[in-house]
Amino acid sequence: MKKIVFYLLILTISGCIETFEPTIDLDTTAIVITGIITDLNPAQVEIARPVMGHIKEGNMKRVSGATVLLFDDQGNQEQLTEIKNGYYQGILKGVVGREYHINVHLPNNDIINSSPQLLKPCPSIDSLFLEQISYLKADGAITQLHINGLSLNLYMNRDDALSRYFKWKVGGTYSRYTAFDINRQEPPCYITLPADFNFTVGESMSSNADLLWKKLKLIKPDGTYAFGHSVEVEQYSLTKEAYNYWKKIEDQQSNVGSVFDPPPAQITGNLSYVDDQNIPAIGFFEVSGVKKKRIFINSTFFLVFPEKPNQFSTRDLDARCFPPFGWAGPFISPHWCDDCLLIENSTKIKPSYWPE
Amino acid sequence: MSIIKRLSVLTLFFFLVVLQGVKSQSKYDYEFKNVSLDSAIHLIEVDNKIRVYYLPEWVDNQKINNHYSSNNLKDLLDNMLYNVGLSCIIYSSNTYILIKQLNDGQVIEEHTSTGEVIKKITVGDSKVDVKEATISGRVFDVENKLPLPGATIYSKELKKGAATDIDGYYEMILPTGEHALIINSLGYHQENYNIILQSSGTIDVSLLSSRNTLDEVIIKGLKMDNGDSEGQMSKDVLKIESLEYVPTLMGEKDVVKSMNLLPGVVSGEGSNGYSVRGGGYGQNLIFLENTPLYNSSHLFGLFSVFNSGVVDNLTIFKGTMPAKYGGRVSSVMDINLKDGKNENWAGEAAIGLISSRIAFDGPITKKLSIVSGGRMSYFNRYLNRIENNDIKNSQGSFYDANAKLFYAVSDKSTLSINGFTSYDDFTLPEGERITYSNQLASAKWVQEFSDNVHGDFDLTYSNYYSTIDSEDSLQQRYVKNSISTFSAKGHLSLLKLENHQINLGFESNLIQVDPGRVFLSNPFETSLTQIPKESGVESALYISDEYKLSDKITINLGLRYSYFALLGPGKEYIYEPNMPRRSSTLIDSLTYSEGEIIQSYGGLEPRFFFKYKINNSLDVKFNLGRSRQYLHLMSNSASISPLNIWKLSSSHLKPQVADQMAIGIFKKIDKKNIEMSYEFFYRHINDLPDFKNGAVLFNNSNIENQLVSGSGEAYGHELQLSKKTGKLSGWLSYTFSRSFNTMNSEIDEEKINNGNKYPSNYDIPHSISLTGDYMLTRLWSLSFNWLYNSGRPITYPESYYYHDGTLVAYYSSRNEYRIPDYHRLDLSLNLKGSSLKINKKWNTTMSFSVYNVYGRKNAYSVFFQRSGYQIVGKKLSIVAQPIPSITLTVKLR
Repeated sequence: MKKIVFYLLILTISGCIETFEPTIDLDTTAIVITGIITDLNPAQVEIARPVMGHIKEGNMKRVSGATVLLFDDQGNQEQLTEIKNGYYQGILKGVVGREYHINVHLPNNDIINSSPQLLKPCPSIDSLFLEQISYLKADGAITQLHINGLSLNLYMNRDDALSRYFKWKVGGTYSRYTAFDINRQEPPCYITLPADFNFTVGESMSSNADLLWKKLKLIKPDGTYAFGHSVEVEQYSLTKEAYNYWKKIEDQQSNVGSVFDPPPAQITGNLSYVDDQNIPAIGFFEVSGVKKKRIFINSTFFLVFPEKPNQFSTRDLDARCFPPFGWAGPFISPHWCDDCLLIENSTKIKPSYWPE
Repeated sequence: MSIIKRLSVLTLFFFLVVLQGVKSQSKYDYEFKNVSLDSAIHLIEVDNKIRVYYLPEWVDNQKINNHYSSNNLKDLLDNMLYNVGLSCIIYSSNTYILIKQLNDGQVIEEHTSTGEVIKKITVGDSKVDVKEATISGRVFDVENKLPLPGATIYSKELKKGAATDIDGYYEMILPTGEHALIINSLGYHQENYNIILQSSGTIDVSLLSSRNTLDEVIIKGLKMDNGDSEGQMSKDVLKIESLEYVPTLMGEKDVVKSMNLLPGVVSGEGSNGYSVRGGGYGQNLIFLENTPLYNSSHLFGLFSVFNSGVVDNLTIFKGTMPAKYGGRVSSVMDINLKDGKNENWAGEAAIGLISSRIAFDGPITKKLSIVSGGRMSYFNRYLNRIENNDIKNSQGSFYDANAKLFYAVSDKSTLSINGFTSYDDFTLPEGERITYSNQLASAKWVQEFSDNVHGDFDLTYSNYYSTIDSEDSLQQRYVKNSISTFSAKGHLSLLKLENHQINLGFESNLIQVDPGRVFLSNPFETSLTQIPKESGVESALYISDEYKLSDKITINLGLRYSYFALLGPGKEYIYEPNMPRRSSTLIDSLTYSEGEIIQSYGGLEPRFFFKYKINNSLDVKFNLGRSRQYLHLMSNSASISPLNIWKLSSSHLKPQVADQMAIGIFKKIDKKNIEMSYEFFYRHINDLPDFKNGAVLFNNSNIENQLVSGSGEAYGHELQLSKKTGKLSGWLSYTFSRSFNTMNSEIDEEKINNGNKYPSNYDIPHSISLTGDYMLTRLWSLSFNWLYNSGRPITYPESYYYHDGTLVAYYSSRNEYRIPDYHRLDLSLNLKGSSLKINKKWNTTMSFSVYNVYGRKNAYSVFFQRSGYQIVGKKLSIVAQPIPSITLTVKLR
C-alpha cells in the first residue's frame, strides 16, 4: 500500500514525505524488564531503561543493583545473581507444570512484579523440511532479480494439549574459512549465530489435529550456506499472555511502513508496579518449555547457488576483507580476515551434530 | 396559473378610471344603522369628495349596520365591504374602485399616490369567513423551475415568516386580510407580494436569479436555515451555486469537499470521508437522491464523485436528525440532483486539469425532462509522458455518470428515475491494480393527494465494491469486497392540520455485505477463501409533528422505531465466557439456514426539537434525540482507504446507540444582512466499537475478535458569523470540538489505555474557516478560503528497548500525540461572465485559482517506516505546494 502513497504523490506532483518527530518527554524513570525461565535453562533477567533514539543493544543503559527474586507456586524462592551489569541469572531450571513469577526490587525502592505464568510442556518437533521456491525481486524500477530460495517448514507433534501458543526461534551454526586463506589450507571455523533475530509465533486451533504445520522462514542463498549451515530451530511453548506479547512484536516488525497499516499500538507485558498498577512496566518475564531440532543445509540444496552468494546477502562474508574493485586508496581489513577464529562465537572444533 | 399570467387579469379593472382629489390625513368615523350599502358609499363619496366606482348590482339589497372607523378611507371602505365580498383599491388620490369576488390567485395592481404599483394577489375563497388562514406553496427558480430550498417568506408588518423546505415548500398561518410579503432567496432577486388572504390557499412564487445581473456576489453564506420556520438546527444547506467561486483543488468544484468550510465538518485532502462533530467516517450516512452511497470519493479521496453540473443542493444534519432519518449516529447528508424541469435546454461544460465534465438538462416532451452528466479523467496522459518506469507503468482513470428522468404523470404526481455510477481504476507501479465502484439506481414517485397531503415513495438500489489484484511470480492475489442495499421507502407530509405539520413514513433496507473473497496462488498453495457473507434487514417506522404552539414557540416531536435482523445463512460463534474472543477460545458455533434470524435488535429513537422566538431576529433552539446504527465501518488504518469493509451488527457487535443534544442561538441583523449563530452540542454513544491494539481487519474472517466495545462522547461549540450580501460577503466559523472514547472491560486484552478515557481518532479541538468573496468590479471578484484544524491524534513510538535481540518500539498510549495542525489558504480570481445582460444565451465564467497559496505541507497522514533496525515517523503531505489552476465553465441557458 506504500505504492498508493507514491501514486498520489505522482498525481499531484507536489506531495512530499518528511520525517516527523514530535517533541517527546522521555520518562527517564521507566524500566524495561525482560527475562525467561525454561525447562532447559535457569532464569535470566535483564533490567534496562528504554531509550528515545535507536541505539545498539550493547549501548542500552542497564540497571544494576536490583534484587530479583524468582518464585514458584510450590513456595520455592530463588534470588538471582547479577552476573554482569544489569544481567541477573538463577541456578535452578524450570519445572514443567509449575507457575513462576519474579519480584524485582529496584535500587530506587520501586517494586515490580510479574504475573504468574505456567510452565507448559513443549511438544517435540516432528520434522523440519525444506521446499524450493523461486521468485522475482525488484531491483530498482526496471530490472528484476530471480531469487531461488528455500522455505524452512516445521511439523510439530502436538501430543500434549496444554499449550496452544508457540514461539520459534531460528539460529544455527555455519562453517567458513579464513578470508585471507585463499587456498583453504586451514580447517574451517564453525560460527554460531544467535537465534534472537529470527522469531515467529503461532497459535493452534483448539479443535485441530495433533500435528501443526508452520512455515518458519525463507532462506536465501547467502554465503553462510556455501560450506554448510546447521540451522537450529528452538520451539517454545507460550502462555496466552506471552503469545499476545510476542504476536504484537511480530506484527510491529511486519506492519511498519504504510499509511494503510493498522495504527501501531502499545505492547504491554505481564509486569506491573506493586504500588501503582497504572504505571506501565515494560517487558515480559516468560515461562516456557523448549524443544530444539536441527537441519543441515549446504549450497547443493539450492536450485541455483551463485558463485558469489554474498551479492544477495547483507551477511557479507568476505567482501569487507578486500578493497572494492578499482579502489586505489588506503584500505584496512577487519582483524578477523586473517583468522576466522576471531569472529564472535567461532570455534575450529567441529560440532558433534555436523555431518561427515 | 403562473404569477405572470395572473397579471394579465389586471386589465379587467381599468375601465373605471376617473381622476379626482381625496381628503386624506383625516379621521373617518361613520355609524350606519340599517342603511343600504349604495347609500353609505354615496355618503362617503360626498363627505370626502371622492369617486367610488362599482357595478350597482354588486351592492343591490346589501345593507350595513355597524360602526366603522379608520384613519384612512381605504381601510374604512374595506371594512364596510368585506362581509359582502368586496374590497377596494385606490386608483388615484380621489378615485376608488371596488372589486368583487376576487378569485383565488387573482392578481390586481394598485397605484399608490407616489406612483408605485403594488401587485395584490388574492388567496382563498372570499365566502369563507375565518379569522386566520394558512398560506402555502412553493418557491421556484423562474428560469429552470427548480424548487428553491431555504427561501424565506416574511411579513414585516406581522414580524412573521417561514422558510421553504428541501422541495421548495413553505407554509405559514396569517390573519385574514391584506399583508405585504417579502420573498427572498440567496442568489435571487427579492420579490414583494401583497396578498389579500381570504381563506387558506396557495401561492407559488418564482424568483429571478440575481447572478445574471452580477449586482450581488454569489457566496452569501451557506447557513440557509435562518431559523424562521422550524425547530430544526444543526443543519446546513449547501447550494451548488453558492460554490460557484469557492477556490478548489485543481478547479474541481466539489460539493462534498466544500463541506470543510462548514462549522463542525472536517475532511482533509486524500481522505475518503469526513468527520462531523468528532464522529467517525463510518458514522455518516450519504444519500444521493434518497439512495445510500458508500464511497463518495474519486482518486483515494482527492475529489468527490459528484458532478457539480447535476447537483442542485446538499443538506447535512450534523446532530439530532429529523425522524425521517436514521441508521447513523453522527450525520446524514442528503444530496439532491436537479430535476430538469426547464422550459428550455440548459447545459454546462468545464475543462479542468485532470478531468473534464459535462452536464445538461431540459425537456424531452412537455411532461418528460432529463438531467444528465458525466465526468472523465485523463491523467494517464501525464503518467505516460513522464520518463520514469515506475510512473510509466502506472495507469489510472476514473469516471462518473448520472442520468435522471423526470416525468410529470399528472398535475398531482411525478415520477423520477435516477441512475448513477462511479468507477476508479488504478494500476500501481509494481502491477497492483485497485478498482472501486458505486452503482446506484432509484425510482421516486411523488404524489400530491390533496393540498394538504403530499407523499414520496422510493425504491432504491446501491452497490459498492472494491478489488485489489496483485500478481508477481511469487504469488497472485485477488481480493474483492462489496456491500449492497435494496431499499423501499414511503413518506407522507400532512401540511395543514391547524398548527400542526405531520410527517410519517417507513423504510426497509436489505443490506448484503461481502466482506472479502480472496484468491491466492503461490508456490505453497492455491486457494479461494470466501469470508462468510452477511445479510440483514434494517427497517424503521417514524412519525413527527411540528406544532406551532404560538407565534413564539414551535415544537417538533418525532418518534422513530428501528429494527434490525441479521439473517442467515451464517454462523454464530460462541466463545469461552469471560475470555477474550479469539480462535483459541472458540468453543462452539451455531449454524443458521437462509433467512433465519441470527440476531435481532431494535428500539425507539425519540427526536425532539424546540424553538423559542425571542423576537423577529433572535431565536433560541434546542434539540434532543437518539439514533441507532446497525452497520459499522471497519477501518483502523491511519487513513481511510477505498477498501472499506462494512460489518453488520451481530451477537458480538451490538448496534451503536447515540444520544445527542444541542442548544443554539440564532441572530439576524436584517439591515446588514448578517447572521450569527451559536450552537453547543453533546453526544454520547454506547456500544461504540473500537479496535484492539494491533488489530488486523483486512481479510479477517473473524473480524469481531479484533473489536472491543465501549462508549464515546463528543461535545463542543460552533460559532458562525455570515454576511450574505454586499461587496464583501462570506462567513467565519469557529468550532471547538472534543471527542473521546472509553474502552473498559473485565478482560485486560479488551481494555484500551487501561480502561481510561482517550481522544478518538477524530478529536480535533479547534477548527476555523474563513471564506468569502470580494467584488472588485461588477465582473471580477476575488474569493478566498482559509482553513485551520488542530492536528488529529496519533499513537507515537515514545521509546525503544531490546527483547531477546529484537528492537521493540514502545508506543505511547493510544492517541496520546498529535500530527501537526492543518491550515491552508486558497485564492481565486473570478471573471463572472462577459456582459451584464440578463437574458443572454451563454454564460461563461472563468476562475484562476491557487490552492494552498503559501504551500503549507499539511500532514495527510503520519506513518512509521522501518529503516534497518530503526523506526522512523514519516509525515505524508499530498498537496505540499501551491497548486494553480484555471477553470473555464460554459453554461447554456
